[in-house]
Amino acid sequence: MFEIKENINKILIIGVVVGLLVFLHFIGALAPVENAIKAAYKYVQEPVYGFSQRVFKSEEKRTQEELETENEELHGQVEKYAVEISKLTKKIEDGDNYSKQLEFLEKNEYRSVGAKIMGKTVDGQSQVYLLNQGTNSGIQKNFPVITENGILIGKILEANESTAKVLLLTSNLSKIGALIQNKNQSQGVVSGQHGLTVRMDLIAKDEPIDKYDIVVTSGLEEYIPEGLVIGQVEEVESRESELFKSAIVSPLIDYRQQAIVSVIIP
Amino acid sequence: MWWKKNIPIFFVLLLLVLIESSFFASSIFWQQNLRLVFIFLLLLLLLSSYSFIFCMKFAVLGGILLDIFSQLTFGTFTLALVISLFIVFILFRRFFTNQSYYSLVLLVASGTVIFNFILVISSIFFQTINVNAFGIEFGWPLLLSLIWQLFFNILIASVIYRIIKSFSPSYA
Repeated sequence: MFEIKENINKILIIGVVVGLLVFLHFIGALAPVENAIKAAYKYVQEPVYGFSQRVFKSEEKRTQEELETENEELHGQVEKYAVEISKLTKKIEDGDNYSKQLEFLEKNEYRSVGAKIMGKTVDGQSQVYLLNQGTNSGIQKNFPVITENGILIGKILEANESTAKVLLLTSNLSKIGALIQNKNQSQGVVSGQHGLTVRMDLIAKDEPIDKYDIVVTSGLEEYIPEGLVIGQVEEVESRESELFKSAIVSPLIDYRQQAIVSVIIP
Repeated sequence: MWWKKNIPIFFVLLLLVLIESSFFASSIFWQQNLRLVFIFLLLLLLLSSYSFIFCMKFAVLGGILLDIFSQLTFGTFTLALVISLFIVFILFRRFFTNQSYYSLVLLVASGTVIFNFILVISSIFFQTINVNAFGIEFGWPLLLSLIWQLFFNILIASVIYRIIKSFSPSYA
């Protein structure tokens, strides 16, 4: 029968080994080993994650009522965007929109690095995804991560030589300066809500905000350019006792369904 | 030959970490509610003929691998695995020596609770002392996850136990 006293030395050795490994990690001595493990895992994580997306894609099943509600909302959006398109068409005719785009490109000279999502951190709650590119490709902390359609999904949390981690916008720890594409270009701060959605706070109370207004990055943060799409306003919350109002912003895409992203390199 | 028993277990651990970090990544449900590395090590400890020290060696290895792919403070998973398996083993040797099915279920259930408890307490502690901004939120989603983990762990343990009994009726 196992006796603690007889095996106390072995138990203590296990404790010392664990403590030593943790200590080595925090002083950075374990980094080469960790990076080697991540680099080795990278080659199997990519195909496994791709396979898992096909397996779990049909996990979300919606009821007919939900589909009908979504259909009505989409009709509303189509009507709203029809008006927006007519305004934009006029701007293009005036040359205003085109000259602003040229100014943006010339001023920033951004390039991007394509990366594949290959997994997620195992703790389950942190909303952090693993990318197959790292500092060798020019990726650094806080660089924005977008999908192929130019929608911002998060920013780089940390990067080593061959892999990186992206913190999603829906994480509680994610905060980004944003503005609403309304008449006043209302500014605020967007933060994640428990991995589900995104909330925009610190919006001036007298700012006119409508449902379906598009929320984009404000460009006030280092490395994150203005104009990257975050989502659309779903609901506006305003209380008389508070100085500011908030808006619930729903992402335009399902982050779990993304496989290929781009990291903007300033 | 030391490698005959070490290498297969090593590769199973690598595979389980891969499943937890990549295969379950597209599904919130499975990633939060099925801790494969933990249940594998727990059953290795309770149902195999391997020594306690042998299993703890792989608990450290499995914990380090999980910590590498976790955003929690490094060492959180290792600590939770090592301590929970140690406590379960003490309970196993002191109070549940008959190795019956019901003893196994109780040990798996208590191990699951202890593992999650240590995981949550450690992450909250490191969050509180500002070592790491990431932590596990205590709330209804966590309690629901614990219930699912209990269900799956007991189910897996039951299946493995039945298989072992059918191939080795003298197992007790």
